[in-house]
Amino acid sequence: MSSVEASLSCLLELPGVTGVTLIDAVTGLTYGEAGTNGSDPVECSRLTALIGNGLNAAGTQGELESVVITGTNRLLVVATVPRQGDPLLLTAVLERGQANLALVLHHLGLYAAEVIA
Amino acid sequence: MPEIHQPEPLVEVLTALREGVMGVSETVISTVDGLLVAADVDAVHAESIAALSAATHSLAHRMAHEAGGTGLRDVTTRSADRHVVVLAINDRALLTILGDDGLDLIRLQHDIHTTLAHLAKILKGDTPA
Amino acid sequence: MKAADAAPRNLPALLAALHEDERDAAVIVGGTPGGTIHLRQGRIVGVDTPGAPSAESTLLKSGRVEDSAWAMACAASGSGGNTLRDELRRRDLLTPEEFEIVCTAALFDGAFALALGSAAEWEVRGPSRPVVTARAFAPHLVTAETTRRLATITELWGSATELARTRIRTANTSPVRLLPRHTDILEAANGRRTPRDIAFALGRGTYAVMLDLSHLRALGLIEHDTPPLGRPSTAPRMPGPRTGTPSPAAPAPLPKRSPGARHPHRSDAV
Repeated sequence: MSSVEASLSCLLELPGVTGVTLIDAVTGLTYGEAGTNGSDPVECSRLTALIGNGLNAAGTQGELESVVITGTNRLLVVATVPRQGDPLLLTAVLERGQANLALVLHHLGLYAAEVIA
Repeated sequence: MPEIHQPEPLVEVLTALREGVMGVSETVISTVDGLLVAADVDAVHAESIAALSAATHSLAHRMAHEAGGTGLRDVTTRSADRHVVVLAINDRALLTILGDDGLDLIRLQHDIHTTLAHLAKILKGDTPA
Repeated sequence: MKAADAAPRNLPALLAALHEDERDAAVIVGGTPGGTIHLRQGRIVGVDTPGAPSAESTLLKSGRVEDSAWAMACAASGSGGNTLRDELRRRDLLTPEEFEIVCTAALFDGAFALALGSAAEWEVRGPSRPVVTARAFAPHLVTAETTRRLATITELWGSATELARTRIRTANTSPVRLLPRHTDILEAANGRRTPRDIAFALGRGTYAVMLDLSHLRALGLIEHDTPPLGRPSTAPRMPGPRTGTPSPAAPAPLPKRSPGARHPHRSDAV
């Protein structure tokens, strides 16, 4: 198992988290994934680029932080990980009934701070 | 554009070298005593490069001689993100190539003889000032 | 007879055969750019090419790691079984994860750059030790990603090989609100640089730069001429803005130009 995948799998211990991936926000390349539910890396990078560029053009200060997509049963959380160099995206798929969104966002932030920067 | 525009066949050869070899960013031709002859530059100061090339080549020549070597081929300076190669076109003129850290050295070695031959041919017409 | 001994038809076939045989090897690829694909037990651990910045290049150029600190970590690795990854962690320069991310990014970027050159010839040699390597990938994964990237550039820009040879300059337009990395590209695009040159100048990936260039072109913020086909022209160059050779009727759409922009074709009247 790669270093990225080993540390990503720790995030699966959070209740309701079924899949996490770390991808390149620009190229859509997957750097690692853990769990059973992945998210399409290329679509995630396209989506966040679209939203990020749109927000930026609309004049918002600062860069996009996260996107939460709510489905009937699941949530898809895409958090941007700024770093020196091209940003990364940390995505998590959550079971709606079991997961605490605020807790998950907090832990994604911790992961980004400890592991990447 | 800051590019120096001499309607000069020398600059054509320099541009062709930059376009043909990946990583070549700027080139300068100078006399062995440090005067600028022609340049295909963007950000660097061509006159300074010309003067430094002469000094670099002369020092390397002495160093090679001191170490018992004959026929200095080139002087290559490597920094973390730059390559600088100084070569003799003939016994009066030098070619200095500035490249990034990805400079295609294999291709450069392959193409440089043709470039030097072209430049030497053009410079052969020079008459004493 | 082992699979790799039969002459493979193309580079992916060769890599697949070497993968099957679990070979340790360095595959030297010809073309512009050429490069070296490093294999361990048949899997790709690194791709070196002048066409894309290495992991070391991106780390140093972006300022993520300081040059002297990097040099010391490199010198210390290898002795006592310590890998570069361990040394970087021990010295608090990079986490193993970040090191792995940078290496993986450079590997796939290198493979993409190699695909832009006409890899017509290759030679399999014994393994050379690439200093900077983290993860190993089965060749088919790398090939699939490279194919996807080529298709993406074709969709967004047109021919990827043509874009690789195109020299980009910033258009004279009124300032728009942009992401910092897009502003950096506009500053680096001086009319002399190809996407690869911009990538090296900024310490980013060649493919990432190409994607951003496609975005900036869509916003009308960059300009370029159609690059000359094959070898560069040795015809006399006119002073002033660069001129390009008109390409023969190509299936790819011609680059879009905004009204009032300079005519892209060589004018005999100059």
